[in-house]
Amino acid sequence: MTALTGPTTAGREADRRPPATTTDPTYATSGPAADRPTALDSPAPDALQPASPSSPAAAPADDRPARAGRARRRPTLVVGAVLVGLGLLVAVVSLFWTPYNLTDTAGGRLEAPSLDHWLGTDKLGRDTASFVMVGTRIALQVGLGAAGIAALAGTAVGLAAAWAKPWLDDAAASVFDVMLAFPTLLLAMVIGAAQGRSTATVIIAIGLAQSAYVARLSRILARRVRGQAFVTAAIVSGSSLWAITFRHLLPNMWTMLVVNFALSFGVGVLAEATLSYLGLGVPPPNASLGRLMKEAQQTVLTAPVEAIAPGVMVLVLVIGANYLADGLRELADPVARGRA
Amino acid sequence: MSAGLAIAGLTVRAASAGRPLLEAVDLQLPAGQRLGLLGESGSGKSTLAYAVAGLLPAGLAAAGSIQLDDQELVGADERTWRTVRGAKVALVFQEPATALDPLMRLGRQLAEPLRRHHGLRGEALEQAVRQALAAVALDEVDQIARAFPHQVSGGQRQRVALAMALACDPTLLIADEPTTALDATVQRGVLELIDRLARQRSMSLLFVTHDIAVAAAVSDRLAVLRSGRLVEHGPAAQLVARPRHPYTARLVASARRFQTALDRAGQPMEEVLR
Repeated sequence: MTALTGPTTAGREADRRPPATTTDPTYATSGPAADRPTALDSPAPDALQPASPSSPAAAPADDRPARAGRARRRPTLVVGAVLVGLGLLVAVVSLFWTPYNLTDTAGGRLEAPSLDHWLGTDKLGRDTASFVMVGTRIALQVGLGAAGIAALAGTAVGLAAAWAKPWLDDAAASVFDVMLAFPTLLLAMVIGAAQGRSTATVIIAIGLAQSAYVARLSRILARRVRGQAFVTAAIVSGSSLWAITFRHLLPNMWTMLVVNFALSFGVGVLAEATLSYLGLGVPPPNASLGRLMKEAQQTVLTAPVEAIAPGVMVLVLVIGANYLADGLRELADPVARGRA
Repeated sequence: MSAGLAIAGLTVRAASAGRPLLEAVDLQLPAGQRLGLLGESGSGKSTLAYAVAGLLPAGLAAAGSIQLDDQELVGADERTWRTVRGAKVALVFQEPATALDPLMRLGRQLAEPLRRHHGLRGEALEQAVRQALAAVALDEVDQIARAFPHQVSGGQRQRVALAMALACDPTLLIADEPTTALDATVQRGVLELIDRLARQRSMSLLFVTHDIAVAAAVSDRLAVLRSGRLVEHGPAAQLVARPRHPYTARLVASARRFQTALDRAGQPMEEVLR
């Protein structure tokens, strides 16, 4: 990461003391001081990284103008926030108002978009715009719920594994890997079969499947922080594991966990759309973007907007979540933040 | 055995067999005295320091005896350790860059052990933080308390780390190469500070280093470790003046050559260091 090559502050103390006398020359063998914070500076272990904005190629000797510019221009963060905010707005509005009632079949069948029906109607004459609005709300519910479950369960398990005895830690890591290899769809089907299909089932299934990713990430992050001398110092000074976890581990992990939350929100939205498309997702009468696409499939040539609209909404949410995650990661740069 | 640190027959071994990292080490550090622990990297000097603080990594097992103020520490359970750590033993680390939490203001980090061990709150706690920072010879106390670790210099960080170690009034301070990562002038300042504070508080000091000149400067007694064995152990002056073990002799001779090199700066290295 180019942003981490800030100027060092070593040597400020050098002029506080008189120079060493010639009687103790062996002191000169000391090595250079590593001078940058290290807890957060490795790149995030995700594969869903959109193209980052063109940052200054190499950090200039005096990087103050570059840093000021970076603080103002965070296009990924802005674009991501706008896209996700758009989805959020549509979802909130759908709570109070939709153009038509979802059961209203008064419109003509498979109408093209018009002033009466902004996105046309489906084959039963229902208003597509209203369905997309409610579907967006369901998608956000599932995405946020699943990401929340994954974050809570995954972080707790990952932290526990990081503190556990080595054999238990190894065992936990193996379990995470097995869970990662287990398809989310299969897990959703199994849970759905056991519990009956409902929105809650879908949220839990996606959340559990994702929690393995979070657990793996937080275990790695926690172990990296735990290996630092300041955690050892806290142990030596008599701090309890709880205190160290909440005071040192989580604060040094949470930026990455927030970035991951945004990513797993996007994955959750996509997973819900996929499950619904396959008929395994949120059951009717709830609208679902995935099911809208499936139902529009048969008539896609006569009424394309009916299939395209929910697809675009899924795209907006998922791309928005990924851009948001990327922007948050840039924001989490510890050097830029510490000197702001 | 009187108060202080008494190590007898300490052997540390990795679970996966192999050569022991420490083998039958006997060391005494009476209360209030300073012991310099010398050795090259891999000699086991840090392992010894970590064993005394109960920080051996998982997979390393200690046998023998470590007694601190007549309390046996080998095989002690976590609850015993919690009464020992902080209250009796404190540690200063080699790398001041990682010894402090990069995301926490220095004042808050220092407040933590003060709050826990002295039960201080509010204004009294802030006052104690300022005093602790002043005690390690930091000026601009308020400014440093508000700073993040990366905003202060390496020497200042090591002083804050020292203040944190001393916050619980330990009877034994273990310093694991605390000045190795600092440049010479700063190193000297920190050494003088450790020396002065150890005297003022009549703390025992276990000073781990590979630098015999540094060790001789801060210690009453020196112990030399090599390949996990204690090769020589005695009063600092005697050990430097009349080393008995050939390895100690080589250490002393090398240090003296570097000293000569300063007087003869600019001359070809092969002549000076020969």
